Amino acid sequence: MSSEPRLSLQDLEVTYTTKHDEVTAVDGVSVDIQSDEIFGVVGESGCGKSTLANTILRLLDDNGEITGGEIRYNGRDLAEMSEKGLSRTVRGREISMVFQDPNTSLDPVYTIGQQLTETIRQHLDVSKQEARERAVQSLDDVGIPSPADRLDDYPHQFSGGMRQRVVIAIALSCNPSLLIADEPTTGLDVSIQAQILDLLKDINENRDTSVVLITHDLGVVAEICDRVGVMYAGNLVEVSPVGVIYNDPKHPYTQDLLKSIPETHDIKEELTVIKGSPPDLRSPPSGCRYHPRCSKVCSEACETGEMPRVYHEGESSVRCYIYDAAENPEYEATTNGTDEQSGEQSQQTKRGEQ
Amino acid sequence: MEWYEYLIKRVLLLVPTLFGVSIFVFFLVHLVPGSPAVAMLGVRATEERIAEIENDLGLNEPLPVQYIDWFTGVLTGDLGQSYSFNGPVSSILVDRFFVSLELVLLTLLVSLCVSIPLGIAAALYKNSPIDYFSMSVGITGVSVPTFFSGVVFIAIFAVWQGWFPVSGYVVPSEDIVANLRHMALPTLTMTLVAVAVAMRMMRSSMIETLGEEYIRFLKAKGLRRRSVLFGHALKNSFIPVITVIGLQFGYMLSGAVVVEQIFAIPGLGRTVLQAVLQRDYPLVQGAVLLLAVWFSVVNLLTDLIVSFLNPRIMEEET
Repeated sequence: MSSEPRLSLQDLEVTYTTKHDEVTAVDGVSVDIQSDEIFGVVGESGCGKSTLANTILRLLDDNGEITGGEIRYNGRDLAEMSEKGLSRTVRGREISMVFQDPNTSLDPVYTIGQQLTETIRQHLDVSKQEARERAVQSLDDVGIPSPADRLDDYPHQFSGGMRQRVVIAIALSCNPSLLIADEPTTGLDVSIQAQILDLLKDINENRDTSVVLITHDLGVVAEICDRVGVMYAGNLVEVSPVGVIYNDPKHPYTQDLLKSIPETHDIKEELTVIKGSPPDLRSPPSGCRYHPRCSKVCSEACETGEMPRVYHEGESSVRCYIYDAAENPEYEATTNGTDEQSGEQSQQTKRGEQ
Repeated sequence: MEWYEYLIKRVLLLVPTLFGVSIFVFFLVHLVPGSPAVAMLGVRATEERIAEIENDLGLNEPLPVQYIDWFTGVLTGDLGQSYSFNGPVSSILVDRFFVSLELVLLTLLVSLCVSIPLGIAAALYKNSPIDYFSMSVGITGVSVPTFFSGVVFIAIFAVWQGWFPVSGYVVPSEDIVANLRHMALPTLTMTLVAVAVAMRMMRSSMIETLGEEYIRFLKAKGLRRRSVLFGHALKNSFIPVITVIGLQFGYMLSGAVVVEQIFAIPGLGRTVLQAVLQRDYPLVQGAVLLLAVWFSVVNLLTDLIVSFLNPRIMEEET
């Protein structure tokens, strides 16, 4: 694993503008995606995880806009790149994306062969014949039986699972170094889900491709992810290795989230749920955005201060005042060198270094 | 299903359709009160003279007998003799049909050249001046009746400016330039209405398509904006527009009555109107049958084009 991260989000902020309001759907998200890892992003619906996924390739809806921060990839800031440059050199070539519903991801009036070869010929300087051969290879790679015969079929002639394989084949046809998968298994049967997850794992292991997997399913995360980011109300509240998330979660929200997974072997009378609902992002709560639902409020700052900065705990980064010695008298530092300055300042120094 | 099987199936379906239309129109026409004999002879005609004429025309036979007579004629290509125009119905209809067809084709051509680009532009620049402009053109088009806009165009372009003749018709084989000059104002009048429908359809269909997930996926693949818009979005959003254009194409042929009347064009709509007023049974029956055939053929063509563009259609039919 090289030390240089493959993709680095720094203090990213995305705002949607509607007629009456402005909603900051992604707020101050900083994270590094390493080479060769599968990075999971989990959170409830509406927490901004899909927005985060769409932001990386700048595929936001018309009313969404990056209002701050950087998307560092290969020495460039994707947030600043021209639309044309982004299409020519990054989208589909370096970074690819797979969406939730394979039934709507493909153009219904073109054959999958046409949709594959147009992608290949867009990015690679190859003849029609070569593009077709590559297309067959791509379909073969994702496990579509007799790929050469299926090239001239239309999307509706495939089953849901096969369609998602086709989508993945298109996404991978130019050997990208990063694949962003936005809930790629949500629309599929459970048995098919497992196959698609195996495929993603396989891709990650056999190619030099990092995967960012957006999901609301903690089971999916446990199965294939190396590290996990937990999002809540537009904030990335915790980033931890997958083992830490399941055995020793740092953020109270992560802890509550895990408790709310129904356990099949231990039938309880009632399902544990997190009380309340996610905040309205048009007027987010002061302090930590989770404090109205949090069972571990430890200081006044939780309720009235700023959103907590990033604290480093072992291999985890977590945004919670529990880990601030100044705010939480019961806190005992578990590791050294965690004492950063405020989150914002650390962002600036990081940027300065580059 | 292969496309020719689809075609054969659709053509075979035409047979019962047209048979039904022939029965329907025959009896409907004969149920209309009033006699062709009275229409021919005028109100002062004597009872005997009327009875004589009705006997000559075979109107005293029972209706089913008359129908069978007429229908066997139709099968052999003989639509009967017109009462009011002196001549076989088939040749009258063919002449009128081509006059109307020219008007409809010209209207379609002009209106598509305007409505499709305008609809696309309105969709791409939603809520911009061009969108508002196209919307006002559309609303004006559908809300101003042709009898008004037609007269206004005559006043401005024919009477005042003198660019085009006021009314009348010249056969294209005689003088194509004069023909087109005569056709200009009627075409313009009809275009105003036709543009609105196709343009609004194009706009909403394009907007809907641009919101589809596959458009986002195409962008994520790194496709150029031009390919996304004109390679994919346009093809998908054009499909419902073709259906609408097909319907317009079908109904404009008979729907141009008012325009043909204003500009004194001897087209099909105007002829049918005269035939109805004259109780010219054979001509009305023939014309309605012709319109039914025309409508069916246009519909068939539309469906064929749509199924070529959208591969899912033929699957659904099986």
